[in-house]
Amino acid sequence: MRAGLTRRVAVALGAALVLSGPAAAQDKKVLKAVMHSGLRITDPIITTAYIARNHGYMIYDTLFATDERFEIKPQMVKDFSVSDDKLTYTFTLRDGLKFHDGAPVTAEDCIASLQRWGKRDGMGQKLMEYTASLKAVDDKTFTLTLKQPYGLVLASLGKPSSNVPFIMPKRIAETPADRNVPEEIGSGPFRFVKAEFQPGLKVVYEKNPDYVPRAEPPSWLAGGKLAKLDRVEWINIPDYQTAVNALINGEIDYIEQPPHDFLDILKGAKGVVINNYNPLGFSGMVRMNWLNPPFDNPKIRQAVLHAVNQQDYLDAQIGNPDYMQPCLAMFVCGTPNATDAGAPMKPDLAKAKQLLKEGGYDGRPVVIMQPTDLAIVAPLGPVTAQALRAIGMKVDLQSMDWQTLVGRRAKQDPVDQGGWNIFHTTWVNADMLNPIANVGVNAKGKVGGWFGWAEDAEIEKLRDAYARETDPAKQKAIAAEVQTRAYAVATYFPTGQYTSPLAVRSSLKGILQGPAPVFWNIEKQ
Amino acid sequence: MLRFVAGRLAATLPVMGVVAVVVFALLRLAPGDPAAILAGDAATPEQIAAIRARLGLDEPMLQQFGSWIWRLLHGDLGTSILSNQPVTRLIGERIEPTLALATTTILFAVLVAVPLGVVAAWRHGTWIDRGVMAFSVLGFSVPVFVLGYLWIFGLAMHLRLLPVQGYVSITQGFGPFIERLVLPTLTLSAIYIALIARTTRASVLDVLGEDYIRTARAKGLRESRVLSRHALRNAAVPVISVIGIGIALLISGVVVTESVFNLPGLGRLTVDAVLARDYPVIQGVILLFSGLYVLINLAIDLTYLFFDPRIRY
Repeated sequence: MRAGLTRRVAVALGAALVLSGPAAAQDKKVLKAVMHSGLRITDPIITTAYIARNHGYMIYDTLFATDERFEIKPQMVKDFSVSDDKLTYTFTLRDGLKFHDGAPVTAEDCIASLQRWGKRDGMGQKLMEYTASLKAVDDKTFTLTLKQPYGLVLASLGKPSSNVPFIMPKRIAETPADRNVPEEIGSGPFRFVKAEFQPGLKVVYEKNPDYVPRAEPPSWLAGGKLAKLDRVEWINIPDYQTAVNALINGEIDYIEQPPHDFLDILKGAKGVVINNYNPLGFSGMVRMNWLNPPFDNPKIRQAVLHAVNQQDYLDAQIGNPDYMQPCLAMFVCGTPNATDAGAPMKPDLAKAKQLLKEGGYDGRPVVIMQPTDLAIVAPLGPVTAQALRAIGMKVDLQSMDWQTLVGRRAKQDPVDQGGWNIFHTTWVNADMLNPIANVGVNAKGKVGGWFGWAEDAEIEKLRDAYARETDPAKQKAIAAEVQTRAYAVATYFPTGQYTSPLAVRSSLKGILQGPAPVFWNIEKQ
Repeated sequence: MLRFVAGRLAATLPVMGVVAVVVFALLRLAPGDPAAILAGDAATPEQIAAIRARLGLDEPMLQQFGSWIWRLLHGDLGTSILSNQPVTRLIGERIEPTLALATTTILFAVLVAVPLGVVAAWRHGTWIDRGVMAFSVLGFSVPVFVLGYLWIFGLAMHLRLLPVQGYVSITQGFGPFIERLVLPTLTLSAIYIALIARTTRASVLDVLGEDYIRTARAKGLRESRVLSRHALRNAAVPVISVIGIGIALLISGVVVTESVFNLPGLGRLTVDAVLARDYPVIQGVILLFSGLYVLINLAIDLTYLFFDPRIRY
């Protein structure tokens, strides 16, 4: 009898314990999100992968940030000054900034972080070229001294997308720039829960109770970063149909980039709302290889520019007018540097054929690499192939997975030795806003250039002028010149802009607009 | 028998050696570059080359192979190029869901398929037999992902009886653990039910024609006893072979089910690693699979001893 009672009490206690766990967990505000990819690389400096950038915004903070009017606002910085000769910038950090390990954020941490970022990022490298020194004045103040006036100091420090100059502790930021950081310690609004990290599967963040947000209201990536969730879980569900079902069933709260095909289903689902949070969106790109014939010939590159049609790309890629917009501005429509300067305003097949003839096209097949495993990029290859065939070019459309393409596009070899002629990719438009950030107008050639290795001294001269210019109006004029020249020599062709909205449970409030998905300010009701 | 077991275990070493060489060579011959993947879209060729050098991917292939084998002999499967995590840790995290799904699937399949096969053989030529065979054809024919979505639509989305996706470790409670395995098990077991039921039917049908079955019936044994003690036991060897092969296939081949139901198992780890050209992870997982195949085959051979005393090693 006594033994029986004891057993019953034990069972009851056990049941109470089992039940109390979930109940306690339910008190916490937990958001479960399916992002566009699983997080594997936790270092947002070594890689430009957007999932690593998004992870960076969770746990790190930045010195400056871009707001919704494309203005660069102080973030970790309390105040700053620029010397009269525009050569010395002095930055003072806000009070109360602390890393997740409890250590205060110091000027030395900022300097080490900027130096590491400056070895990887395009805008960072340019800034470092112009930088004479970075020196700590005291624990909270440091100076950046330039060799000559440089117009993009704040734009670089407040760069919104990959690679973002996130601030890490000095001991971590001293990791070589081509090696993953060993720890994920930032000073941002959320903390990385290392014990629960499963690469490619699940990442867990907890609210950072020590974070001191700015007093200003949030605006894009600037302003107060107020974490209103206790815990954020990024769960990688590889199958979008499953993710959509899980969202409709209330098992998850948030899908970052549901394929456009699913949006109508999601719009009709109870308790689910579509949120077009990123008005800047994305762009596609046709990139030709300048090293290999026939695209070593500018006339034949020009022929391609007159043969292709943005509407065809957008129809194949997105197919829903609500989420796509033809845009010939290389520096993104709706932004300060947007212009149509130099762009072929509409396809002209007769002109394309004429240019092909003038260029002496010899009928050799053009190798187009098509990544079949990336739904958003896969349709671009066949559209280009059809356009080239229409003007009489021979096309060898080679299907492969994206990672094969990524490996092969780095080859500078001739086509018959593993090289290539054309590939396509897409970009977050926040990465394309000016001639320094936009790799499509990098014209450095074989050394220092981007895949395709466009080489043009005039463009490089203009890019340099843009970097040195401190007057925004003059910068805009130079950006138009860069674009005009880039179209003239055909560094690349933009295939149009599109947006990829979020699908979320209607219980989520306060989702911020911006060029990257952020989780501060979000409430779960 | 001990000598047999020792011999078979020793034979795994050359098998694993061959697997190691083939996997290593195939991966290096396949297109793709983990350094380029690690660097991201905006990296320049110079930055990619620096990462490749740091990872040792620019060393001669023989040197890379030697380093890997040396670490392997010291029990070190290496570190993931992308996530920087030890391969053993990654495998350790992913093996539980795969083993759990394999266990529930094979248990459910055996519990359903063996009686179905026996009944089909016993009622050979009747509508029961035809029904079981028709079900088998269906089980073979319907792709796993179609079946998975149908179960999700019916039981999770429409009736809201079960969750759509996810995995909960058994350490967090048996209820949530089994709740999330019901749909994947139902989905994945269809093909194994079909396979085992057909094999059982064919095997039992052969045995039912034997003299000793007639003798058992003649001495007045109940039909259920004839079927279970005499027919099924003697028909067990081919059925066990199929079950064993099924287990091996389950462990390495459940990637579609793992993707549809978002189970963080070894199948997904393998596919993710292949897509990312994460060489150490792919090599480690394939070595594990080959070792498991050898051990499962050995276990099958030993199981024969229990069901058929005529077999001697």
